[in-house]
Amino acid sequence: MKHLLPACIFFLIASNAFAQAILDIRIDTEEDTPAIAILQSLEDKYPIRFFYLDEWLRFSTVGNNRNAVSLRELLDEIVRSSDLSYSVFFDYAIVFTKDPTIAKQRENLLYSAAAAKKNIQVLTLGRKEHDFRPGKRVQVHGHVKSELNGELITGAAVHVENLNISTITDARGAYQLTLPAGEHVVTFHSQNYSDKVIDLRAYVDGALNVILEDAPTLLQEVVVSDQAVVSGRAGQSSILIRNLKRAPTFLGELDVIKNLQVQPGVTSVGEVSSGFNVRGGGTDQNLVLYDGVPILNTSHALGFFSGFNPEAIGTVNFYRGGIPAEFGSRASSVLSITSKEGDYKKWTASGGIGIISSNLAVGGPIKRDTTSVAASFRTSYSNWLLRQVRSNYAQVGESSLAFMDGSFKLAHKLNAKTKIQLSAYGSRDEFSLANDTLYRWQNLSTSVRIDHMHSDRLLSSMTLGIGSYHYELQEEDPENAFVMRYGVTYPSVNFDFNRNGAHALSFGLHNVFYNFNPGHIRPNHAESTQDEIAVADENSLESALYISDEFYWRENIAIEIGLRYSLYNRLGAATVYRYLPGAGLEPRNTIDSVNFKTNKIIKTYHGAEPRLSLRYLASTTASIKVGYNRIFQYLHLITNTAAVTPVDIWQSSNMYFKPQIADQLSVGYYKTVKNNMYEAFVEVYYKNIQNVLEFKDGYNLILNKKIETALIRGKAISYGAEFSLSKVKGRLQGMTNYTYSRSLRKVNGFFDNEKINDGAFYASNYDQPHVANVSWRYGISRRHFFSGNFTYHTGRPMSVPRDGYIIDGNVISDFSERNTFRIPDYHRLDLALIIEGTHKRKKLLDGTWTVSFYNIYSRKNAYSVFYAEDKSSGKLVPYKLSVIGTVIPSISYGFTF
Amino acid sequence: MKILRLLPLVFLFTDACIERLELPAPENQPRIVVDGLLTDVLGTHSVRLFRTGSLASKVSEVTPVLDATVTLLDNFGNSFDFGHTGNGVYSIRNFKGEIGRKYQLRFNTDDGKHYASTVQELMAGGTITDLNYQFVENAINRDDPAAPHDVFRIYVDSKAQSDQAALFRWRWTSVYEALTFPQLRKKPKPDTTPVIFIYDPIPCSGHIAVAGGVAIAQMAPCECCTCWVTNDSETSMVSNNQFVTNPEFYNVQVAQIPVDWIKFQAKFYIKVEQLSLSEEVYEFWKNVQAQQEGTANIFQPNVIRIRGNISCVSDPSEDVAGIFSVAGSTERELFIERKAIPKVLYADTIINDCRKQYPGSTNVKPLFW
Repeated sequence: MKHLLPACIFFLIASNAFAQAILDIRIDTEEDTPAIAILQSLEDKYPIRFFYLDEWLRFSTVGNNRNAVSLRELLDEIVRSSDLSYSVFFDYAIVFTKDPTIAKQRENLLYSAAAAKKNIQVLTLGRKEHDFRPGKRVQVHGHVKSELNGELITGAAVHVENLNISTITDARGAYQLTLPAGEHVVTFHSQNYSDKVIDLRAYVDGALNVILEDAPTLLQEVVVSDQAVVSGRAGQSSILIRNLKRAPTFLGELDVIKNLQVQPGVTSVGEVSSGFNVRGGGTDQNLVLYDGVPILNTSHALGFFSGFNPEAIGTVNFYRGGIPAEFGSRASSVLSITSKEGDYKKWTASGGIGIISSNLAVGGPIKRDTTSVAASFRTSYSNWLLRQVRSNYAQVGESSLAFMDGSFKLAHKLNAKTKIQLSAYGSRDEFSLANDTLYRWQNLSTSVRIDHMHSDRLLSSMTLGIGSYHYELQEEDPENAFVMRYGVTYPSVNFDFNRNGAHALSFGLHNVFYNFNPGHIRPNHAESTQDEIAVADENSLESALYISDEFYWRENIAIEIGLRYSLYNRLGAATVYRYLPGAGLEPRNTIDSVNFKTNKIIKTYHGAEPRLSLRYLASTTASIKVGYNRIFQYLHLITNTAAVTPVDIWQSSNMYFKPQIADQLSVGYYKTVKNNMYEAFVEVYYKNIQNVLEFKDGYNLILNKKIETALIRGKAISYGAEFSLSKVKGRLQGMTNYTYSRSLRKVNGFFDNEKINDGAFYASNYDQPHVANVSWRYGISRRHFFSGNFTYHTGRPMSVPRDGYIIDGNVISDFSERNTFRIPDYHRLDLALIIEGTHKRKKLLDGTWTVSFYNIYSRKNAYSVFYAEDKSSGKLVPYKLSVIGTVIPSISYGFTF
Repeated sequence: MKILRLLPLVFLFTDACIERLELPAPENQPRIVVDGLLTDVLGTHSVRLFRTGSLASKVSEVTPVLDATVTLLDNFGNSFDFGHTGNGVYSIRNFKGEIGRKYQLRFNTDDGKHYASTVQELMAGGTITDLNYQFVENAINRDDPAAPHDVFRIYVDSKAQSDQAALFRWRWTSVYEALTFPQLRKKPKPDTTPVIFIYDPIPCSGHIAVAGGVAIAQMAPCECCTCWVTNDSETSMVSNNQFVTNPEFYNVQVAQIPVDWIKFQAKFYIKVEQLSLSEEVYEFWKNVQAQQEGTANIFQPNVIRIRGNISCVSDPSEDVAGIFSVAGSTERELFIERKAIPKVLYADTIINDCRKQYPGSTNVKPLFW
């Protein structure tokens, strides 16, 4: 016995050496030869014997026409992606063996799915005996739809269990997989739906369309993540409305934008502020789309709340890097919100009752399975918030604010292939400061979209839209009484095409026409001394053609390469002022003006915007993603305040203002561990933006006919590293992230007042080097959740008064260079208890109570910083206004029935 | 219904507040500040040199620069010396700038440093074609019953010389006659219960107490019953050239005078001076105006840095503040009579030496009064 082991080892080594010899035999193959035939001819030609069962190799064919291929390569091809393997014995015998564990594993997967009462369906593409070849790869594509309302489901996870690879459905509910031909177990999963398991036998390319049923319980969620490792692009995330509903709120208001602000790379400058900053970009550099129409002001109540009612929202997709070619015209990010369609089967309603506002959403079929309607409305009913402010400086306490928003969506299926959707959205705000000046602003957007499926693979959408943003300032004091109006209206028409397949193509044409009414001020009282001033309308037309191709290269590299070509024309009628050459752009240097007639082209800009998104799947649990985009932005938001104001001005590019051109490169490493329980990523980015606009000190921006004299051009760079770790399964789920980033600007014009900080780089208003967020949700039981979030960021930069002096009777304060100091760091902890109703599928009313504590340790974070005279020294000193100075408890009730 | 019962139980309180923001004090070396003006009006022209105090000190607490030598140069190679008249003020008498000439201010401090302004051309002052006023009721202090509510707004119409840009700054000086009653001062009579007050006129009133203090008699002219109080503008007011194609301005409000009994006991005088500035100096005052207007507004525009036109020649890295202006000057004045106020003013009897009551005032009647 004791000699047997060394003997065996010797035997194995020896046989292995001989084996090398026979496996190096060179042979020629012909196209589509059955494997058995080849093996038999080899047995005839050489002293070799093959041992196998006919049924194992019956459907095997050898693909290519090749010369002098080694036997090793041939055998490898035959057994590739099958459960077969082979061994060589005694220099002449080649024994095929079948690994029972693979078949066993498949069986187990199907068995456990059946045990979990999952819906299992068998689907066969092609015929094994006819189409199967070892090593062959097949493309499987399809759509995932909701049984409930027939809507396509975005972000549904498609997981091939036996291979442990995944993808998610795109914005149109479509997905695509490349698989080895053979038998697979594919699970389809989406929030709020029951999982569906497909016992897939795929031997040829084909379609696998799936309809998911409404989930009876909500807590049994397997996956809450974006499937970030295996799908998506660098800098992409989606926000799940259900997670939103289980997060702490400010005064009971669920908020998409607030939720966005805890994502890595997204910040805001203060306690509340209109808009958000993405990777060091300005608030104007975010494209916010509501059913395809841009929304220019996304906030309510000066930024306390966002303008979108969560009850009306279907899906939210957010891109902060590697932006697809489909999107353009804003330099930093895309937030695409799709509103919810009404149910095609039954009527439902949901709503919420909060302290500040209440909302109601209703939806249902007008004609069962054919036409559905959804409508939502939200309105505020309280002014108490601003009444809390005690101040001697600005009479905030006498102020009032009110807001409302509503949305409507009508969807009608003309036939199995064509669907038409009408969507409308509106929001309105009113804010009055010290009872005198009344600010009103409103967004309106309407779109009609026709989707048509030309074939199984080609889908087209045509969207006709019109959006507008208006604000109005009204001064009621008779002496100064005036009304000032500002507005922008933008009709658009977009054509988009999507073709599935090995190369998933997207292409289209987008056109938007902008009409700006930059301002009109007129006296509205007989006693008023105000002059009437009107600044002429500005018109411009922005068009873009785009194409992108998404495909796999070498199985584990997904590439999306795209190109957008944008063309911008500034149109008349307009008066363009010309200035003394060689002198600064100053009102006093005006030499003459040129009048352009209506629709005459004043200035044209155009450019190519290459896009690239690359995903390398290093293993089933790790990937590397690279994203690059160049984007031209032809609109500029002009503001000379660091804090909030409702009266910002949008300026279209013209002779003097070139488009902002942003180039961004981001690289990320994504990893999941412990069977996808934890997801982590690190992403670094560098962004360079040309032609950003800064204001000159002391110039008036509102109603300025020569606004080019008040602005200067500079460049912006930002860079950073984002670290994120999420736990996406289990009772405790959460995310923690930290971002180090810088956002710098440089303005170095020719003249002294065209330089900022002597032309050196300086921190932009939203440069916040350290940002950290922790958010969690703990399931105390299936219906009770304890959730919270903590957020920290470096205070935004500011300039401070250094000293003061008197010149000719005037006290003058001397400030430090722009943005060389910082306001105190911002941090806040919020907690919430969420009590959901019973999870029974059949019930009349499903209610959720949310008890929230905002700012639990009563941090007085700055809402705005301003300067006022210090009574004792006579100099200017900084003061901060903290609108939230204590913990704010709130309770709200949300319901669906 | 459950909901309706619960809501009132929620106690709401945001505790919003405004508070001083304590920041690490920026490095603050005392800096030299220049406050100088030369016009085309014959007279005394002065330059004030001082060093700033600490951040916490009063804005008026500065250190005068005493041992400097101050010289004015023109583009014809002339130089004019300014003499120290005390407290850091250096002056030249019986002098005027010439329109079209270029000037530069230079000075050396006793620590051997040399400073210079940029070269400034003296622009013609233009004309003030009209100066008028308007009474406006309830324009200010609506929340403060004790403070004045009505104002006079002072407007100018103005015109530049046709061949030059109209970069104007307006400043004003007002004078009013303030009456006090120092002769009515009283004091308690010693050793009386209950206390009896008797007359005790302030000596400068020219009155004395008679009849044991129950009456007064005038023995000499009162030297402190009538004072003339002078105020200067404390805010910057420059022309808004944004909408101007011709160098003309109409109805530009240059001052707002709160109406109270003291100012309008007799009549009110205001003199508006229009200074025609170079671009650089105009820019300076425009920024000062923007800074003043933005103060204490919670939507305050971003801070405005105000650059002067003085630099240290011997050490270019030294930070110097202030401005040396060269300007064509033109003036126009008016009186507002008390009867222009269409309402009754509440009178107040002020028992004090008027010179003490109104610091900086004088009992010498101005020549134009």
